[in-house]
Amino acid sequence: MSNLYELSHVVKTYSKGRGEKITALSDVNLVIQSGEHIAIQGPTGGGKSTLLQMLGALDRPTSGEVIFDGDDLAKKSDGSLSSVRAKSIGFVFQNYNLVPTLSALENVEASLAPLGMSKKTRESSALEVLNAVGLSERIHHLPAELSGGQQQRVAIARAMVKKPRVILADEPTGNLDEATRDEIMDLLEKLRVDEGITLIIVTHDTSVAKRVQRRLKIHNGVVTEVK
Amino acid sequence: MGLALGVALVLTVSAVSNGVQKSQSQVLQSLYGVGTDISVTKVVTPDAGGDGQNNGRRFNIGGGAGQVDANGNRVFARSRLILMPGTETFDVASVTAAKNISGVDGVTTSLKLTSLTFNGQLPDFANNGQSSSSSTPGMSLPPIAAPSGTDVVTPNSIPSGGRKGNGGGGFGSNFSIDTFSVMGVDLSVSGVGPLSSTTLTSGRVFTQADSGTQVAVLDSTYATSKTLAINGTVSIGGKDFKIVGILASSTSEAETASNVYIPLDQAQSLSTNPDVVSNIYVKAKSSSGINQIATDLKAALPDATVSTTADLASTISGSLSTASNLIDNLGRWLSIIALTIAFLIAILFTTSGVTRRTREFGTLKALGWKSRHIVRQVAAESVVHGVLGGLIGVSLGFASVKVFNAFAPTVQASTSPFAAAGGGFAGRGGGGPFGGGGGRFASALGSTVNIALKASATPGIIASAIALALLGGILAGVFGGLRAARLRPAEALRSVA
Repeated sequence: MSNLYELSHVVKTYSKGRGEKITALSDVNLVIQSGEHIAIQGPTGGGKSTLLQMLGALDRPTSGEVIFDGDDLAKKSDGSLSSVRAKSIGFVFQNYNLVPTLSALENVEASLAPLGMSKKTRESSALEVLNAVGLSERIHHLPAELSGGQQQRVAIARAMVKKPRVILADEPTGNLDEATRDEIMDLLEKLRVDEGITLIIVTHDTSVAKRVQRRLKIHNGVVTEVK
Repeated sequence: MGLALGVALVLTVSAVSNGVQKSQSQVLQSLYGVGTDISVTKVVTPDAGGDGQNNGRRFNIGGGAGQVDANGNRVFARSRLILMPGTETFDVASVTAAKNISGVDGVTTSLKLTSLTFNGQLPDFANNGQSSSSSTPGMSLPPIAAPSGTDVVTPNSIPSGGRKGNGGGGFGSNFSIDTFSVMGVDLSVSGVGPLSSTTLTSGRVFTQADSGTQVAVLDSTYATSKTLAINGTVSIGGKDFKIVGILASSTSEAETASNVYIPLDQAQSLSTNPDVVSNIYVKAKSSSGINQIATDLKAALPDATVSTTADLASTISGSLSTASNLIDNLGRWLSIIALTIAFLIAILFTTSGVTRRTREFGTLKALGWKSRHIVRQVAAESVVHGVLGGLIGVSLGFASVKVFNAFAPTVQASTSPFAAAGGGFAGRGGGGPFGGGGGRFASALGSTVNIALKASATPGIIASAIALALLGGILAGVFGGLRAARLRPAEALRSVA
């Protein structure tokens, strides 16, 4: 397997005002290979979300390198980072983050909008992936008309539809009951295997973390492997 | 909603303003006809008082005229056609000069006259030697002088409207003076001049073949009041004219510019004013050339009063003028303020909407949407809101216009031909035949019109209102879109979390 991510001496600090700085990531060195299934755990404020933002090309490190698929994300412009996100990275959020005024189908299509596809292609791709997550009967429903599990399925479909290199899931089961949690994790695992996608999950849930191949722990901005 | 209210207010104010302008236009049309761009008149300086020096308003009755009745009174019937008081005339050269000015499309003329008919009896001064050189205080009868066997009757005031003044009974006299306005009209040009703002109600209008014939067209109000009809006759200056047509005003005015219309040549010969006219009506080839033509006319006819439509509009006073000023000042500022507030509200709502939708835009950015995609999305939504606001605003505006028109306030427009801007468009006069005094010219020549003010929303106004709403939407979209574009996805998602 090839390296998808190579993080070298990544530091991220935030200014808190009055010259005070918070170090969210402290000299992180990490290699993630394509197709891996990784869980990132750690206490609140430990740097989990910041690490996910670096991996997701949502932010740049203060120093260090974030090599993704051979390119250093730290040196890319905002527009180039948008293009990387549009083509190669899928996100799944704890609160689903669906656009409330769009139907399930439109929400999934929104993920393809920056890729310049025709409306017809977008729609057929969205229908295909919604069918794969078991929501073919709910495509015209608004998020408010769907259950939490169904909304997260739409979010997974939205992340999957572009056939990304990696899916970054931030507490994807945090708002779900146990039964639904297992359904969602089964779905993510199936899609990962079927599509050969790298899956990185940030979670507090140990039962979720136990399902993955590789577990990382982050505390005070320092990443360690969990054996 | 703010945008809708702003648009509604702008539409209402514009519609009322348009209604006021239409009313002004109606007043102008009623005064000197549709199609006339410039009117040229000459106005004499008003007499300081009713001193009776104007020989044009005298009846010179020879001592042996009339019949002496059983009581020794002399019975007279005299009719005269005189130039309307306060009016002076132009000669043929002046009219030719007006026609030769560059940019003039057509010129027509008219001669405004007053018909005076004296009927009654006077003491037979020639035989009984009584003198009437002094008058009794408080009498309405004007001075009657009898120098060397000639009786002179001078009415103090000659109105232009059809009025009948009952004479007094001083010195055993008993008489009446009937007056009405007569206008000699040029039959060679149509589409401009006083008859262009009239509508034929019966009979026919003049043709060029009527030149030289004793035919008349009557104002319908005058004809009704005098029970005159088609094929009947009307006596003008002692001559019977056959009535061939009845006209009514095509504007909101109840009456046309004169009681009776006759061919210009007949008016000139009967009033012993050959080859002269009192009014010159000029139509310009292009509206942009009106001011230049007016300047050239003033140079060519230095003694004349040259009035354009705009000049005349400035002489309009009364509540119509007040309404116009109110709309021009308060209405305009109200619209600007309302629209500014509406725009600010729209921008504020859009930018606050962007703040509310931080999670949504942050998510879209995380999905790979570039800033321009976000700006386009926000701007498109804002434009849709603008269109909706415009449509709702237009509906509200229409409702306001409907409510306004249901009440349709009546406004009064008055014109003064002696206004600084220069008028000279004699309308119907006021005052009885003996309503003398220093201001008699003004009372005779001014015109007052009552008009029901109707707001009118034209397609142009509606289009402008929708365009304003769109502009508001675009402005709001630009501000909101730029704010959304500045959102950094990581910060947006972190702030939501």
